[in-house]
Amino acid sequence: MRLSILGATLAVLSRVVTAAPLGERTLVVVDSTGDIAEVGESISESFKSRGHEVTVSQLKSAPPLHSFGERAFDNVLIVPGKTKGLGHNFGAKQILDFFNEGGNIVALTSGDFSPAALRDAAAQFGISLGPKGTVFVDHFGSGKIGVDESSFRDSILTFTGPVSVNNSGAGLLTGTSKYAFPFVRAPVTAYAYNRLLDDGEDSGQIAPFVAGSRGVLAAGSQGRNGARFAWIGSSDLATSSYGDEILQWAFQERGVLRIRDVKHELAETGESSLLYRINDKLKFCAQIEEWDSEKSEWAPRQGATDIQLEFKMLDPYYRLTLKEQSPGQYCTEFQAPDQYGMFTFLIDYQRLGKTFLHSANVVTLRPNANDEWARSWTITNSWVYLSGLTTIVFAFLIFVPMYLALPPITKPVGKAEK
Amino acid sequence: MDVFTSLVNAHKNAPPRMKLIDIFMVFLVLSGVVQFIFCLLVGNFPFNAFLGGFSATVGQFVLLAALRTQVNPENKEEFRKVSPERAFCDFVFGSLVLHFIVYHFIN
Repeated sequence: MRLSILGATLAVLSRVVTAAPLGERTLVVVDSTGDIAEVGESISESFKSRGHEVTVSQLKSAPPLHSFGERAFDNVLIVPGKTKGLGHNFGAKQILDFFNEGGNIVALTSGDFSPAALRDAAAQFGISLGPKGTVFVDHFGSGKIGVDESSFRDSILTFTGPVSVNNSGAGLLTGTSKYAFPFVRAPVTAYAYNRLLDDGEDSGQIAPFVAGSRGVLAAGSQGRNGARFAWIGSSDLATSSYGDEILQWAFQERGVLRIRDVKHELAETGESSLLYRINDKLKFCAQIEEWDSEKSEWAPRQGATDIQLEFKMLDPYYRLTLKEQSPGQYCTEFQAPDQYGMFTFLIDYQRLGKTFLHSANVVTLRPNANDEWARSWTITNSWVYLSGLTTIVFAFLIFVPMYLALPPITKPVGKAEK
Repeated sequence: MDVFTSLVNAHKNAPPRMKLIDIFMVFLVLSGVVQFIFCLLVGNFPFNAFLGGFSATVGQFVLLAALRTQVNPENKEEFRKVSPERAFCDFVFGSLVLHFIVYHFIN
């Protein structure tokens, strides 16, 4: 009761202050030497209005990502400029350390502004960015780059319209990370063109960095620790409403799930325990919630049909798809296996772009006690043997008086015949 | 003379008490065969019940065979110390023990 009051108070408080449930200390690093600097400023305004604690800083005077070994920010947006490097505070190592400690990073580049530190960091996430000067060119689309709706398995982003993009940096997914996925794919007729390598004569001889729909204009990756990395290859894209959704995803406002109220019980009596018996009918339920950044509250995640429960001891004995019983509450019922030991109710839900859910609850399955086995008369097969025994007993009871009633044997057997 | 006809003759010439024993023994053989065939066809699931039921027929058969041998006047020389009354009492006591054990084994 006290906990629920506390929870309600916290929920009310958090509704006032936060848009992102996992932290809103946001750093926007801008290099004013580039012409995409104002993009960073307009983005920081929109995050400020949504309740983020935004620190806008020039690259030269930017605070380090860590202070005294602790992560100083939750989210970082890096908008580079003409300067070649990003300084020792924003090297690839610092960026990766920040990510490994759970920080979220968005790197905004373009054809002209693509520093090596960001390229090195992105390569670690399985996203390879083209060298400086590489832009996408599409002679068929008159500069329009379409958004591929099918590049998403789940609706993390809602925007689906075409978006016009100029001067876009080129990227491709190297396939080294299974956690990387594209936000925007290049059209099949596009290819990456490097202005700096073109000497005007043999430009047709140079193989493009990437061509066709292998190329990506924006991509993301979520680590196993839940931290998110997004790369947006174009300032046009970043300022569009599509880019806004990518930023919201990266800063943990979209696609954020949590699991709570995990419970298991006997299906018949509803009694919860850490000790069940083999072959018991068990029921498992979990509440799955998704962060609603507009209302700043957790809302039930509805309509999911791909959440699975494993009941495992070393190997899964069951892998069951949970069904939605009431909004956000996913349940299943099953009969415990005929095997005693320590079993785990395991939910390991990993979908690209959604928070990875992991929940493990260990219970014991005990064997039947001595007096819990079925009695023979409840098993129909044994009726045959039971009636066999009964007839023998009755036959014996009839035999004894008849035997006594008959005359005793006096003469030797068979003598009369012989 | 083959085994079967010798058995039939032995039965025909036996006194009434031994005929009664013979009938009981035939009944036990039939009961045991039925239970065994059932077990072969349906499976041995309550195996303790099958063992109990089947061994009750076998045990009762053995006890009857012993009784029949001991009360037969032809074997008087061999069972000098065992009177027919004593043999019958042994049989009743043995049967009661057998029934008691089998009843508990079947559960």
